Amino acid sequence: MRRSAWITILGAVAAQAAVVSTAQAGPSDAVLVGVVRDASTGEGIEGALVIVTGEKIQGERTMTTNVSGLYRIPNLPPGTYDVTVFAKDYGAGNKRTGLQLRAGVTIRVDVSLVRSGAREVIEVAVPAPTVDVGSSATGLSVDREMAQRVPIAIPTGKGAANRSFEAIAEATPGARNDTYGTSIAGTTSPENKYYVDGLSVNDPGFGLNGTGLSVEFLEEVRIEAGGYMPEHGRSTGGVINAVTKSGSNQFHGNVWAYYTPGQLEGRREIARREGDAIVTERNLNWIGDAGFDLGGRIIKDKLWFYGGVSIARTVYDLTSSWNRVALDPQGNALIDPETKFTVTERIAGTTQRFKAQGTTVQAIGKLTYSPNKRNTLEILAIYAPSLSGGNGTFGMNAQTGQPEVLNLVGDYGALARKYRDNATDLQFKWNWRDDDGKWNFDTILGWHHQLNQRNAVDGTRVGDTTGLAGTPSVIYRQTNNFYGADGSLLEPGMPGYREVHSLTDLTPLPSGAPAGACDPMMYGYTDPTTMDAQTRSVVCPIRQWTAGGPGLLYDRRLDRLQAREIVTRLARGAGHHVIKFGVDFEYTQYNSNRGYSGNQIYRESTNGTNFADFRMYSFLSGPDDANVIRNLNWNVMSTTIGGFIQDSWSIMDKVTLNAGLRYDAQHLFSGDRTLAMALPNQFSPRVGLIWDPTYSGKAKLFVNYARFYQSVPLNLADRAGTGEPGLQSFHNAVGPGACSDPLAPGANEPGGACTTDANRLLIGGPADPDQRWALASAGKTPIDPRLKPQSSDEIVAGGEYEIITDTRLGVQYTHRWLHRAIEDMSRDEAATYFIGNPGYGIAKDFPKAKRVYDAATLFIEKRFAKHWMVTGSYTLSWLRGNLAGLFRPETGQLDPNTTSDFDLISLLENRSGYLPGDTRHSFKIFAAGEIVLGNGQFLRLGGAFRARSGGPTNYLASHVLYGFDESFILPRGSGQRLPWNFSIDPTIGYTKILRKDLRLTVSMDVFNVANFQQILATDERYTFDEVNPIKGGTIGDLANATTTDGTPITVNPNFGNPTLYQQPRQFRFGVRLSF
Amino acid sequence: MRPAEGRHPRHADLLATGGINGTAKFDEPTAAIRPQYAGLLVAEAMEYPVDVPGFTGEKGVEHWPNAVGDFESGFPDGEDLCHVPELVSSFDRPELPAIADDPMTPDVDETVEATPPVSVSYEWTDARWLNTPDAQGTQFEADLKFTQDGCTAEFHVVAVSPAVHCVTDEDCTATGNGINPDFAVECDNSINDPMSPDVVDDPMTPEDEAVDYGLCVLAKPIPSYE
Repeated sequence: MRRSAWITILGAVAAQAAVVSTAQAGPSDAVLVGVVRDASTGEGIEGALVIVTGEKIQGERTMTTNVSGLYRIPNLPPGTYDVTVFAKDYGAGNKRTGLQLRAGVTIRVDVSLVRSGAREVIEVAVPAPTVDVGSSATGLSVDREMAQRVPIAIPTGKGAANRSFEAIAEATPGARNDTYGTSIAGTTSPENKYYVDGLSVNDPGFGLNGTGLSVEFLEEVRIEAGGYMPEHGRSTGGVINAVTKSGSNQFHGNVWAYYTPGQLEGRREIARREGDAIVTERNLNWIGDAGFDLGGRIIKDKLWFYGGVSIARTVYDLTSSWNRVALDPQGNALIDPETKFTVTERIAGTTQRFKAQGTTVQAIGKLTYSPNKRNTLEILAIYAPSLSGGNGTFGMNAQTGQPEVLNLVGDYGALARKYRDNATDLQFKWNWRDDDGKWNFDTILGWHHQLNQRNAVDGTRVGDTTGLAGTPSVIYRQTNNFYGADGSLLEPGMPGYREVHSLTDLTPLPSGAPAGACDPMMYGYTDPTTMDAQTRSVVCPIRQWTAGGPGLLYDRRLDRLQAREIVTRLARGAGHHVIKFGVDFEYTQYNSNRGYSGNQIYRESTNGTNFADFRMYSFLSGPDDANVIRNLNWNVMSTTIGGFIQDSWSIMDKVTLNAGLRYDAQHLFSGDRTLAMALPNQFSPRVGLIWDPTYSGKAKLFVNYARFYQSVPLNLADRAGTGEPGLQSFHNAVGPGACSDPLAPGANEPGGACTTDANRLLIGGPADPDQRWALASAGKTPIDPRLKPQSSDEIVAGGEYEIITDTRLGVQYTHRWLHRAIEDMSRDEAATYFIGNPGYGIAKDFPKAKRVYDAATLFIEKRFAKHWMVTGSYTLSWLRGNLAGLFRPETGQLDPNTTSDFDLISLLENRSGYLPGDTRHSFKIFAAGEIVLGNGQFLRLGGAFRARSGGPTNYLASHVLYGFDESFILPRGSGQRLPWNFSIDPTIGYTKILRKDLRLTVSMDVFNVANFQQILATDERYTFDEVNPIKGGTIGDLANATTTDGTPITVNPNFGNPTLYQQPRQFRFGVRLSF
Repeated sequence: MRPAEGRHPRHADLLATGGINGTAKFDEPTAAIRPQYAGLLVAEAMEYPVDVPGFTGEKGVEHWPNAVGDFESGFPDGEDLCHVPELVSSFDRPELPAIADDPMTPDVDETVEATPPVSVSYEWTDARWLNTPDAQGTQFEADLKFTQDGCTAEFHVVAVSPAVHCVTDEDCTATGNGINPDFAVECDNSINDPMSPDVVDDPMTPEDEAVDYGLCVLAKPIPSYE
């Protein structure tokens, strides 16, 4: 039998295959390299013909081996390939089938040929090796199989509705979700670099992912967590690359729909809080997406197409109700003995139902053209518009994927906005390679465009003078005052006695409620902190209420133009070299037009005697001569030019030395076109050494050092580099003709009660030229002329071993530390600010910015083969320092490189400690399998399991200038750790092959099947009082601590209580037809 | 950068109108100087318990002490200095009238003598501020001709910001006092700031309570660096 003869021949053919280095490949394509040898002599065979065929390439790729028998075939899209080798005097050919190539990897397939006169082509199925013996990069690849079979993307948070690729990055060992995306290796999500097919899609303004492409359009998502080569730069986080599907000679397509109904949600644990007159419950109504895609040929082997459309929608229910203080029969307010909160009771007939909803459409189109063997051209276009809010609904925050409001404490027109968020991407790629594979040129031209609009719900926009955009926003927030200056208890009617607003003072009682349900009435109240018996009258107290217009409105247009040229050269000399070099140019632009509705936000003082111009774009042209800017429109930009050179030197095929250098220079320009910040000389060295102790591609030991530089998002050039001029005055609200309500007709018009100088309080001291106005912010923030870019250093080391076919087990250790940070600072308590490197240059008296991440990871990965797959990891990690990254997790402040972390000397104490992302233990297991039922039917089973130890908590207080939660009373991380949390997300599905190449799959994913309701966050606000940090303080010091006024601290009764629980159980149903 | 919530401190920063998209012309700045002594003269009249003829109800009295002048340029010169050639303020504060005793309170004598009118004039010339990222106008020098009621004195004025009260030189270099630690500063105890008066010894106690408060001043001509 012919087959047995083959096996005999095979015995003499040693096919050696190994993955070598992610370093050599472009961001998305794979590379095949290897040596063709004579099996008996071991010497390379010159002139052997290597032919690569596969579904993902047009025609075939061929190459002849060089003098040492080496071949290299680059630019192979991820997929399955066959390799055939012919050589004179070595039989009829030698074929390797079923080679799976993943994005970005370089697979090494060595072929040993036996001299023979055989006439058959020898065919061998070669499982692609799993150990990447040429690379020291850490991370994860999620291919289509894994993305479709395992419920990784949970139905909540950013990119949830359309199952965006960045949501999948969370599966990487050591990664975790943060407010704006996925945090990798202890960094923050805006530090990541996001690519779609090598096109950079970071939001130019804030660094977030700007094109949240659905995984349905993707072949693979590759997450490089660390140890990556110089061709990747401008990021101190991870590199997340989405590789889109391509056409092929066969027609393939999918139609899908996914649906997560809110009705099947598990019971939600509600965080209890001090009784407010309005309580809003947020529940998922539904979330889902549907779409189709199709790929195929236009001209066989020459021109292929791929395209698809998806539509995703998220709907949340926001149900608000009115509540009143619950009284006992004696007329005393009830206090919950456990929480110390005032007990409230729902008023019947006051329930109001709103929706928060958003819709995203994504369309993708791609053409791949290969006119001849040397050239491949590709055009990619993506258009993804999103709409949310308006017409009686609330909007969705595009940056977090959550409804824009938590509690409906205000008028609909003031709290709700209408959003439009569009992303457009266009890319042209050209690959040219020479016939013998020595030279390879990749040219990439790309454009990423974003439109982000926040409009009033009545359709009026920034700059409009009518409608809601012409109405100021007013925050009412008068507080209680029951104590005199000497600490004595005041009775109603006594001077200084004050009560919070009653809800009915601000908005009418809903018609369905019993009349007078909220009318003030006298009742007894015992203060739970002082045990003082008091009398109160407001039964529907509201601590903050927003009325009028929607406040900040904007129209932002962002662009990122990029051009890249990468040259790869194959060379020989003391081993094999893959030398790669390139240039990389980026121009980013951010046109930000923003303004406050009605020119400003008024905020009532807590004592109710005045309204401040809380937010108002304005400047002074003479003492007390204020000029209001209706809308501030700046156009800022940045250029980054860079280049890299790297060599992957394979020494005797046993050791690989990867060495290279990257250079970048970024220049940011202000709105007046002058240079705002120059960050040249970003030299990033990267060196890695990999040793395969088995000499057979089954194992590796590696170590790598790298420096990473952060690209500065344009928000800095806009806000700090150009300026947000602002003034503040205080309008007297008491007495005849006063500014008692800025929303009263005419009050905000020129000459009205709230714009006349006569009502502005005199606030200046004897030496202040301005007596009525205070400067909130002025023009540009000065920058240290010796400013250095933000950078991190990293060492990774580890080992991997292929324990069985398709399965590797590995350990790795990462040590990553912040080298320098860029932040804004003030050494005169907010009088003047500057931007510098904390601890260096003109900021040398500030503490150095620190962030140190240490992680040890044990992982196993078996890719989908023989009907099952598993990826699992355990990470033990520490994250310490005084700077979390480009946003402040404690407050959500997203001002990259200008957060409030280093702003004030009085806030600097106690900032070092365990950062919010510090998670000691993290387990992640993703598994999927299928059981063959016969008759073309499969049962699909799988799921995700995650377990994570709790993060640190803090003791926070208010700061005199910066407000709540900005002062660390005790060193960072001194609070009790949060508990562990677990989630089990199983999936079950059924696939039926209807006819050849047509299969139907139905599936059900269950997220948090056990409906664990573990605490995810607690109230870290120890007190509402202004308290300065106690240097190196301990919990024992809290008893004697005082406020900045020297009075004892009033502890927040809610301190330490849960504020956030795990998402409840959710079901996602899916159906897919694929051909 | 300041978070969304927070209160704001004050300082002066005046710019011409007519910049890009309705903003200010950042390259046409104006300076205003308001001496504390002159400010207190006005504040005294404003807070006076009875109406002051020629002052109470008059428009713009709160701005009398302001000396305003345009900068020569929107950018610092080669020595990082921003120059204003001249700033002048001149005003006559009228007499603060006498206050008679209130007959309804026989046990308290509310009588206040009249305060005579005061005429003051400040002529600042060659005012210059040091302007670098780490000294944003926080070192200042100028010549001043001060005239009160016809009597003229000429001064050379040197200033540092922020104003820090001190007893010893160490108070001026203490971390966190707001003064750039690279500045060469010292304590001048001879300055008697009405906002922080000296404390005299209480002869009734054995301890010496006397404290000689002064203000931190530049130790060298600007730019005054360590």
